[in-house]
Amino acid sequence: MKQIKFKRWSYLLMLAGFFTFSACEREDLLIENERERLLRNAAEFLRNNYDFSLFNAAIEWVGMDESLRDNEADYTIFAPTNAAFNSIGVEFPSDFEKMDRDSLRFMLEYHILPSAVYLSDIGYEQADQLQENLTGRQLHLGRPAQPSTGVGGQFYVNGIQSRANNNNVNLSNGVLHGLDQVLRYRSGSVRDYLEALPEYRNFVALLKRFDYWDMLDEDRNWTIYALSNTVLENRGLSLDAIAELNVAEYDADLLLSVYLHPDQHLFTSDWLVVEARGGVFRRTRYGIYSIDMSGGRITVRVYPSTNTAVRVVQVSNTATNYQVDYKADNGVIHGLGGMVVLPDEAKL
Amino acid sequence: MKLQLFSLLITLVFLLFFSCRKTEYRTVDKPAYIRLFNSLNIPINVINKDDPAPFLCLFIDPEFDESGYPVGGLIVSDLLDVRNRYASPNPAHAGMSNSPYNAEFPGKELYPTAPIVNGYDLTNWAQILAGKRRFLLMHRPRNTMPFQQLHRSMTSVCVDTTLTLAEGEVYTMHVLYKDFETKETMFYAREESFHKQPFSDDRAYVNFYNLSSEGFWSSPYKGIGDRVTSMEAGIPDTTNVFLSHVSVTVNENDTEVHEFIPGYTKNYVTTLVRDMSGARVAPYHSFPIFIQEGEQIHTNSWQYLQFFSMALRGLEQSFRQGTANNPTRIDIRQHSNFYNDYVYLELTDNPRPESNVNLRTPVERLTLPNLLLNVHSGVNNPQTFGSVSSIEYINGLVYLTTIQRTFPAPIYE
Repeated sequence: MKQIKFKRWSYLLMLAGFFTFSACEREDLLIENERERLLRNAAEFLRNNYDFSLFNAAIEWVGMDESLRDNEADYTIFAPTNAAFNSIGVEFPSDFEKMDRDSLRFMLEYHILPSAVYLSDIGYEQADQLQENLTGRQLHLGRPAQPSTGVGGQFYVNGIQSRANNNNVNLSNGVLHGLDQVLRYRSGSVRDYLEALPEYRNFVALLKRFDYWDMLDEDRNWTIYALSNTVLENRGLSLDAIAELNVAEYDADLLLSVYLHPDQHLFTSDWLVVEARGGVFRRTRYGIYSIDMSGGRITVRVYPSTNTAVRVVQVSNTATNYQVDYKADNGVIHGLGGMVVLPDEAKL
Repeated sequence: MKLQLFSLLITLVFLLFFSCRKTEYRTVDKPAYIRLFNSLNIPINVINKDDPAPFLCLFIDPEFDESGYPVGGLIVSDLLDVRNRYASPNPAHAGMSNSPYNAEFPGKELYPTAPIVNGYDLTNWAQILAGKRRFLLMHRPRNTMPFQQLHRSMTSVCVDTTLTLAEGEVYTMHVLYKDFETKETMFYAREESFHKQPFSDDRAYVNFYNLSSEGFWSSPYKGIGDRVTSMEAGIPDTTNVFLSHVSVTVNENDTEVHEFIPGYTKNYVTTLVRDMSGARVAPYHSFPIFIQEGEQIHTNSWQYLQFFSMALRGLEQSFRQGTANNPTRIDIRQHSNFYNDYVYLELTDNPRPESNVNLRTPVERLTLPNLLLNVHSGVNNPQTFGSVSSIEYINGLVYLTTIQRTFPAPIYE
């Protein structure tokens, strides 16, 4: 009897030993496959979203919806909202039918990347994170500094905002980010773009009259603050008046160089993305030009160096969304609401 | 009975061989000790917004996939941010910071760190296999996404170099801008010698480096944006460094009195020359601990550093000395003649409230922690210890790296 008891005890011990051994063996915990999320593809998502119905109409009109349905592909779609299209005068889906289909296709391809760039891929406090789109051009992504709490969901594409609650939509074939404005791009140089914008016809004529046009070469970047026809006509510079100007009477540099800034390509969003206290300064022989595009305004100041009593000339206007961030291959064009140096002041 | 014994034995053998092994110590054979700072400290502004973010991922002996993209290596250390202005003698930020970003390598990384070498606490240095090592640093966007999950077009090569590390040597490394204009980056490695020098433990030691980019000081763009304080103007490639010591006592009205210590005021320390080669350790300057409280080894004194350009040579002793009991701090913008030529720096734990400092000359830019460390050790609370420190001036900012000897643990009574 005693023997049996002892035997049992030893078996128990053996069992305990096995438990000790087997307890250490920790297999990776495998949860049954999660229920697969049924993500829609890009074309489906656009078709079923009222806020992108105009963008979708354009996509369908040029026949791009088939490729956006491709589940093997990966896309990033920067989709302008209906409000964005409305602000440039597109009200109805049928409006696209009046447009040239090839240029519309180009415009849409400009908004789409051939790979998925999620919000979490974009770095904080950094402008000009370049991404190549379907047309082979680079889009400039910028994201402000991370707020002290939260992730900071908004970012900018070529100066145009993608809002926190309207981006990073997961699709089965990529990701979609809503945009507040349609991206404004024209293939070619800033000169080509300026000539294509009728509201700056007088400004172009003025630059040509003073032989400034050729200066805007294609070898470097330019940021141009363009004066609208109304601004110039208010100062007596209609097309006819410009043609009759006696160039020799004016200091052309003083009159015009404040609007043309070489080696820069600044978007309005840059002031929100990177640190820009005090704006951008450019030293010239007339003094210091300072450009500030923070707070939704464009402010151009001149601190003249010749005057002993500092007389600051300042022109400031609200950056209305559709007049800024025109992106060309070698620079950016912004509309400016007033002349910094008046024609009379630039007379020799 | 035999069977029982046998089964017992089997069980014991099972237990012996298969019981849990919980700890696997990571050891490094033939270690060299490295510490790496990301010193790409030129702020991204509207003007230089094209530059890649000064935010890095470090690969040592990287491995690549078929397309040549780094996917791993001997050491991978992600989220390497621009360094802090003070690199403390112990990895305090590792325990106290809640930022996912790392201010230095190894910093917060769980990685075997160096032991105590010749009495110096080197826990801020990582152990790494000595020999020929390849260092690859990749630019990456500033976010918390792990490097391998990032969109590949968002990353780019910052520095790729190969170094030969000697066993048992201590290296301080930097990623620097070589040229201010082109923003070309470079790798800098300095083989330290402090652990081999016969340093006395009742003195503090300090040396100086100027690791600024080529063309920073002479650039008209350096002072743009927030870089308008005297320190942002920077120091020229050759400067004379003068060190003063200031004692702190409390007078009968219970107010603090700061006085220059006689004989230790405006002492010439060194001529600081910009040098990015890392070829030599700058000579150490030493000064005694100024004990002021009788029995206790304790002092409140702090250090006052002045950098004079060669243009002010000969004027150092008379230059804005202030009164003996009021070391003058100069708001350099009111003395624009000296912009680019003169910079001062206070090494004090407690920057005094300053009346003539406004927001445009942030006092923290001109102050750094003390070279004398006050800590609780043994029964003394506090006790003052001398440190071995390096002051590195890089593109308008000054960085202090302090190394401390090991000291007796505090005794609480």
